[in-house]
Amino acid sequence: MVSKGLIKRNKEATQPKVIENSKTSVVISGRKQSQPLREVLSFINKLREPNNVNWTGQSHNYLPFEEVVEIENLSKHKDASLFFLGSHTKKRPNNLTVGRLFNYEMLDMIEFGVENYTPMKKKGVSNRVESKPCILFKGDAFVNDDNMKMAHNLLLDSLRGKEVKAINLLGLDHVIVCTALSNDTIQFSHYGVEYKPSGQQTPVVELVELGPNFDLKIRRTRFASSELRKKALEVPQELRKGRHHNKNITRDELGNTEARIHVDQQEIKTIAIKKFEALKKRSRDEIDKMNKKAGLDQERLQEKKNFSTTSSSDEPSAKKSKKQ
Amino acid sequence: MTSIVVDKVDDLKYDLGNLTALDSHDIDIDLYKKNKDSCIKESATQNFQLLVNKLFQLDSNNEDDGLFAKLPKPNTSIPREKPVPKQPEATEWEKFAKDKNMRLRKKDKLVFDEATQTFNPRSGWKRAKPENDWVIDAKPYETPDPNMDPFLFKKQMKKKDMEKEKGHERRNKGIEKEPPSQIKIANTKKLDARGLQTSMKSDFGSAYDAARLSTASMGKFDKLLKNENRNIKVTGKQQYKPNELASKKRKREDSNTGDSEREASMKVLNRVLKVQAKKKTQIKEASVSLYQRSAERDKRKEKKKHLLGENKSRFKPQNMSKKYEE
Repeated sequence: MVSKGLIKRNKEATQPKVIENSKTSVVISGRKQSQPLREVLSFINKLREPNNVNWTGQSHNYLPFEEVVEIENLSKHKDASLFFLGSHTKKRPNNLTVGRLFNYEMLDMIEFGVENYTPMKKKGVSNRVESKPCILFKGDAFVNDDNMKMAHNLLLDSLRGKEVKAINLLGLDHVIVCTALSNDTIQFSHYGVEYKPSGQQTPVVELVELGPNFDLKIRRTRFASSELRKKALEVPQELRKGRHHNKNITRDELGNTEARIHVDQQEIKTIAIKKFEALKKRSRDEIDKMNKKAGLDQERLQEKKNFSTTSSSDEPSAKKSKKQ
Repeated sequence: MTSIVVDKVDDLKYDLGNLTALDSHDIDIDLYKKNKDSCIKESATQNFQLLVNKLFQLDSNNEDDGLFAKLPKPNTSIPREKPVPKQPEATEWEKFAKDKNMRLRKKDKLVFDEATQTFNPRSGWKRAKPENDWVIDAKPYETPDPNMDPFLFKKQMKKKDMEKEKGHERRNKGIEKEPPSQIKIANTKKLDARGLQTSMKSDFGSAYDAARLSTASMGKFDKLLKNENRNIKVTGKQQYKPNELASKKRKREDSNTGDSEREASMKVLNRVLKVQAKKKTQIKEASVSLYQRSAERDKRKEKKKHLLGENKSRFKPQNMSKKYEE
């Protein structure tokens, strides 16, 4: 038996929010695999550790550039908004599609070809890969070329991990470096970090070759329409900068603040006024009731007066006899 | 590298909230072709040193585990996962309060009780009950009947207030009326842990059929859709025949029975005999198949022996069945 509370909580977790959850990703293996692709996918699995769904066990014949609906349904099922799909064909060897979704609709997709793959070193890697990485980009193309700009944004989004407010500075274990070799290719390399003492607080940094290095060559792209993108980039009002920026407020040179107040038209009929109960309009029935109440209350008042004048407070028996 | 200072012009674009930096100068491709690894490693160490310098300049707390730096908000605009949630509409009371310029104050959860001198919750478990719960002033002019029990009257008024509140809640949510009383015909809302439905197609069909019949005239005068039938199979309900069946062949006009008693009993007999006959044939078939299987098994054993070469002399290709020749 599944309790209603559990269903409700699971539903609320997937509802849209002002401050969002960190994105979950799905790592899928396509119809056919090759050895470098398998290792790359397992590396991505480790990188995206807590917010990840691993679908590399079985082969799934997904072709996102031909039918997008399959991946959109998958994302709905698993509540995932990022995906990595690896497939190997003769025409497109070592193919890796990276994509993201907005409201379970496809937003951006880029198809990379993995080339010149060198594998990961086995010693001392696994615990480093699970921490939040630093990501460095280098190249002119990341600023000028459209496809590379989107690739920059996509890779950042998918590799950065959870958004954090504070971080342990000595826990920055590993670095991902993406260098643009041309308008097509990105060199992806992964290093570990070792800190050495300098004379000051900030340490000297030394990089150690760690993880898989490979080239990513852009093959096909599919970007979202401008309308969808606008919706996706919308910032809710609670998070907008300059919430306290008012146009009506100005400051003097002496430091005095001046402000203008705009008063709307007042609705005189519904405005809040102090009311007096005696002037309230009452119906006949209500007046009768009130008179009745007043009559009864007066009787009681008289009784009290009689008691207080005649007897003292030490004779409860006298009261009883008078009541009878 | 032995020092923090980098021999480079610092014009990286930093995004410390995401721990990234973008260097807009290209790599020297000639150098890269000569020695790939060292070329990239050098530039990476330089850029990373610059990033680390910036990170260590942020405000940080020194704790047991390490040095925690407060990161600023991220710079790069990354699209959201889901749309911005819509704000709910103001309820009638909130609109009224806005017009009258009232301050909506929230009541405290805990209330000070003077009798026990403690803080107790305002409602629910462990609330402070009123002292004089067993005494009510007699007010015969307020109750509809002056001789009415005032405790009962108090209960009724409370119930009315609660119903009124429920009505307001429903109105604020957008539900118009109280839903009519529901009878469960079939469980068409079986939900998963994720809140997805798992009921079968047949559940809906049976529920629909049952609902069609649930009018006063058994769905006789209802309007039909295009390809709908008025005949509905009422399955699962056993119909008992009356005790008094016609003893002779002549049927009564009153009774609804199709058969007389004699014919009914003959039907039953035939059914029993059929079942018995069926069982017999089944047993026969089963036994035959068993025999066949055992015979085939023996044959196969023999063939294996022949193939393995144990009884070469006895091997006669004529004994083999056609299957193995093909």
